[in-house]
Amino acid sequence: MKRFFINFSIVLLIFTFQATMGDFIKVLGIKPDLILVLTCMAGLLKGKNGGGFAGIFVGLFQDILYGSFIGLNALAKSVTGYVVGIGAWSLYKGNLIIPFFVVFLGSIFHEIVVFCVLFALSMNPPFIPSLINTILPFAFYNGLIAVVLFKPVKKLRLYFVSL
Amino acid sequence: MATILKSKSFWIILTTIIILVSLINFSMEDAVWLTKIKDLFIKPFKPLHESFYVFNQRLKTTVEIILNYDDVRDENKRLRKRVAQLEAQLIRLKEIQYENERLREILNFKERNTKYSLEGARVIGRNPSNWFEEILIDKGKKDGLVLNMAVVTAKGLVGHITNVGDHWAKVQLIIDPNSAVSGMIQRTRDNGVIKGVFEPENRGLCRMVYLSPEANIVPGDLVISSGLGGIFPKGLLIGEIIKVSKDENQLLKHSLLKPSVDFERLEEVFVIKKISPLEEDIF
Repeated sequence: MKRFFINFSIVLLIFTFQATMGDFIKVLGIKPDLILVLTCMAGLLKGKNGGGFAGIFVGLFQDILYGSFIGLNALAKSVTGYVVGIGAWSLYKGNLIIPFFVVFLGSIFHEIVVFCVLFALSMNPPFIPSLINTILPFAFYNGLIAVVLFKPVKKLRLYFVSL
Repeated sequence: MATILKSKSFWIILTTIIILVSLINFSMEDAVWLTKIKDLFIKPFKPLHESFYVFNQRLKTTVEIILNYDDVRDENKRLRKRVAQLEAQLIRLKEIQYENERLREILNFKERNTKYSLEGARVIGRNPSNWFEEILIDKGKKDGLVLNMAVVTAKGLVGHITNVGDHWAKVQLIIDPNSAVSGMIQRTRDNGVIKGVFEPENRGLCRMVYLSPEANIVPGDLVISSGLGGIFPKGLLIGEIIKVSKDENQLLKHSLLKPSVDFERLEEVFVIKKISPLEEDIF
């Protein structure tokens, strides 16, 4: 229960930071998604169930607080966390290239899921321009953030586990 | 196949996906229950949002001012200490000046627009997604706000309310790719629809579409709301045309426009609650 509240507080802080100061960390018009980075890291460190659960939890929270409708982020983030968990859990985590590529690929996958949902809802964003101009730079930026955050997050997790 | 069907996790994943997809559908059709849930969550986080947002705005101003002093500091090292002192003083003064300018603008705007019943509100958050352009404001139902009310600043049209709780409201900005505002060229009275753009290179701009090929539009023309559609009153400034082009089949013209509102620096907005009956007749 204590660990849940500590994790919840961290998620809440990241959410507030992203929603209120997201523009401050915008590079070339692209905002990173710290919540998605966190979800991919959960998949990488805790496996498919951990990633899927973290994804549905933070995704639902994001939908309720900021979403236009409920379920979009919950679906995209839970599936991404789960898939990252399946693909990356067994990987060696000592090299920072691993979290970069995992978050890079996870971000592309996440945006494709979001794109598919938007497409199914007839919002029809253009795919190729979105992929080149938004999704790839977004994924790259998230990957870089993962490199910076990976070790502190790992240490924090070890700290919480030892509590 | 049989092994997958017997797997417990397969059924858990499938059920979760079905529930989430149904949630998306339900929440799109009927937003009343969604608003109630949001109300429950947003209320406790509002103070945290407000303080972060205010801190962010101050940080932005501070960084901008410090950058302006870089040259001075490099040129005159002996005066570095003095500059730092002046810098701190200037930050405070600039803050007061900006606040003064903003309040003056607000006062002028209110005086100039007596035909509208306006409700001032502060911006307390922004949708973090790259796919939507929405803001959260600190006024809601208890302040008399309802769905689809137009939101403006002294500079022009901001958007309209898409979601409203007791003490908050969500505003879809006119630069959101899913937004559509009926507008007209002020000089020629040509009508069109103003939409946000998806492409990052044009992010923050709008596109005016469905313009007649005969429309005589040039860069620099001002675009105002046409009043069609019933959400936005007629005559609100939307922006300025910066580029005009024709469709591939040459049937319709479209153009790129720069909104008059600086969406990166939104701090205070006005919600148009009511238009005086006399003016309503004109619209």
